[in-house]
Amino acid sequence: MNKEDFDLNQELEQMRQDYAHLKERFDKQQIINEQLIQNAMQKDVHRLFLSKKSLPFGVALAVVAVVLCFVMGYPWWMPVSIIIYSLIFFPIVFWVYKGVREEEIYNGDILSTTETLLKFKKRNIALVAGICIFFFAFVIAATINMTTMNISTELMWRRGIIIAFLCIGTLALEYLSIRRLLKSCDDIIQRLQIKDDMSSTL
Amino acid sequence: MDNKEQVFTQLVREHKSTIYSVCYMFSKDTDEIDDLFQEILIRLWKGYDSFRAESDVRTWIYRVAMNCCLNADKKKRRLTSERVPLSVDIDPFEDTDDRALQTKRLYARINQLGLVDRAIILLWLEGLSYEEIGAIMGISVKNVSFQLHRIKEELKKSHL
Repeated sequence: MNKEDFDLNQELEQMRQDYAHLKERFDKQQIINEQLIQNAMQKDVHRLFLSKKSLPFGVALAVVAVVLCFVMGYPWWMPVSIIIYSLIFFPIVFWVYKGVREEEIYNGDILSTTETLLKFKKRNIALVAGICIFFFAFVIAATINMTTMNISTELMWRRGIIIAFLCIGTLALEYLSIRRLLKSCDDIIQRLQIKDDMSSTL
Repeated sequence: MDNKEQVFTQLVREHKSTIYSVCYMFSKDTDEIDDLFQEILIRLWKGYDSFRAESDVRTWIYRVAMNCCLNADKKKRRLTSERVPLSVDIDPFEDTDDRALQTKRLYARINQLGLVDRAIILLWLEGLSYEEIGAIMGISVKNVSFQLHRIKEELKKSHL
């Protein structure tokens, strides 16, 4: 054994000892308390699953909105738009959550959990992008329809620009808020997968 | 508390120092440890039913803890969670006694590594077999050996 290897082995042995001391130190602490346990058992982990859980309300709201449109005598394109929106996006929400089970999301190994999370986050961005595009198209169509009413071209443009900003802003916010997580997932997958390919050829 | 809750409570009490050590190695201050610890407990409880009889309990706890530490959006959680303080009367980031210095030395060595490397070396320090580390990380035993060799080389270089 050369000196360098000897030093490294000593260093690793020192790390192992330090780690054993660290755990011993933490073992003496109470750490867990009643409030912590109660909180863990009662808290819902549905931050990731908010859209899925609110889906039944969304469907109910769409039905109520369509009925209201007919009852109130709104133009035909309003209920039709709501129906088209529901037919397109509610199945997409199911697709986004396909294969992602809340209870099991962190139970799998690191690589498969990270892959699932990454896929889920990317699908979510696609969903938000789709909703923004649909909303923008809807507003343009509505504005064109309203030209039959007395609305000036300038006002139409102004409304269009505001809606465009809102759509782009929503999409940008969605992306910016999770881009760190996306990048981190990519790094983890890359590091574990590439090295797996390399090691299998060794 | 019903039987399931009692068994779960006993389980996390038995592994508290393991979970706390993992949180410590992936955090920058005690608030972050509290957040991560709490998140891991929630995830363990939610996944408790689907875990049963599937694998070794220790491996499962490591999997959930590592997944939380690696994939957590710390910034987001810090802003939104209601933090429950842990019953700990030491501050591994601030204490200055001899034991604390040992702890800080180890923290500094491990923290110079990337997230994935940190996870692998922690599992190695815990004394887990290559098979167990592979099962937790989702990689082959050969890859574990490859990764550990590379990480040790990295530690050697950084020490020179």
